[in-house]
Amino acid sequence: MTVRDWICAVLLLSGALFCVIGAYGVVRLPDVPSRLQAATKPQTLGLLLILAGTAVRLEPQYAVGLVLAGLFQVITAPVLSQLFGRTAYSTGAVDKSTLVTDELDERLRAERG
Amino acid sequence: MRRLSPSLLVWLVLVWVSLWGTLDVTTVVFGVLVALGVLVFFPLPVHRWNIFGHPLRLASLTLYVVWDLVLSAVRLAWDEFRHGSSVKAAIVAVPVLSDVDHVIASASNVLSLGPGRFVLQIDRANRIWYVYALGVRSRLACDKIHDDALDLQVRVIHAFGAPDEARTVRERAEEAKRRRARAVDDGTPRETEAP
Repeated sequence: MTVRDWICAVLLLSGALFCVIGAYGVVRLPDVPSRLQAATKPQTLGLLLILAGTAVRLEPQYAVGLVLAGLFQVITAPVLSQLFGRTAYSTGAVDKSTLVTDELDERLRAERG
Repeated sequence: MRRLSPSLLVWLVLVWVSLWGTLDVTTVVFGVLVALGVLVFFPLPVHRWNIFGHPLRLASLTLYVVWDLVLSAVRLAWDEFRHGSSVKAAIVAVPVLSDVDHVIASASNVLSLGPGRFVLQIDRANRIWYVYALGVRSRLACDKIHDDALDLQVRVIHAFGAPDEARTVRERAEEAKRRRARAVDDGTPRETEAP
């Protein structure tokens, strides 16, 4: 095996590992926002690693497309998690017993009365 | 007609060319046509976004984000395995240090990229973020989330914020840290780990 093969293998396998961690978190964590973290974030890193691993083996002109895929993933993932998270919060899908502190709730209460 | 942003045009052509994966005259010409079409039919508000104004600071921000991404992914994985369904979270109010829409938006995107936390709500009028953070088990950890979010904003505003904001942002961050009502640091966190 060449050095390139090793780099590729390490990147692909660690990427896959982070995807598995994400999937495990979806099953294991208690409520919507925490599962959302598990579903979006370790997978972002996992995808980036897999893309990098693939790019190592490709001709440079095809690797550019992978850079784009990674870039758009990085730009869109936070937007989605914020939208879902806010919706989950306002529809009461957040398990309040998991929260150490909720300063948004404190503020909303103070405003109400 | 609105003024077309040349940098946006170049960016769209670049995306087009990379999507095709070939660099020749035909692709570029059609890229320019498509980009013009996009800019004319879907106009964006004109703003001065000096994203490459400080390349070194931008590079340091990028490195920081990548490092943070790896670190928090590992930390989140550890929390999952160790605490599982009893993992604790917190929603922390953090003052926003910028008054420019696209800087606030990109700072909250950078913060939300890290595993385990995201900006749940942006109170634009009062300039407050509500940050959700996973794997927080004490009030002291909430204070750390608060301070980290402020430091991140300092980095983002230094990298591509307006110059007048970038100059004072460090002091304003320290000021905001001083103003927070902190958990008493007597060695024992007020709310300890769940059994």
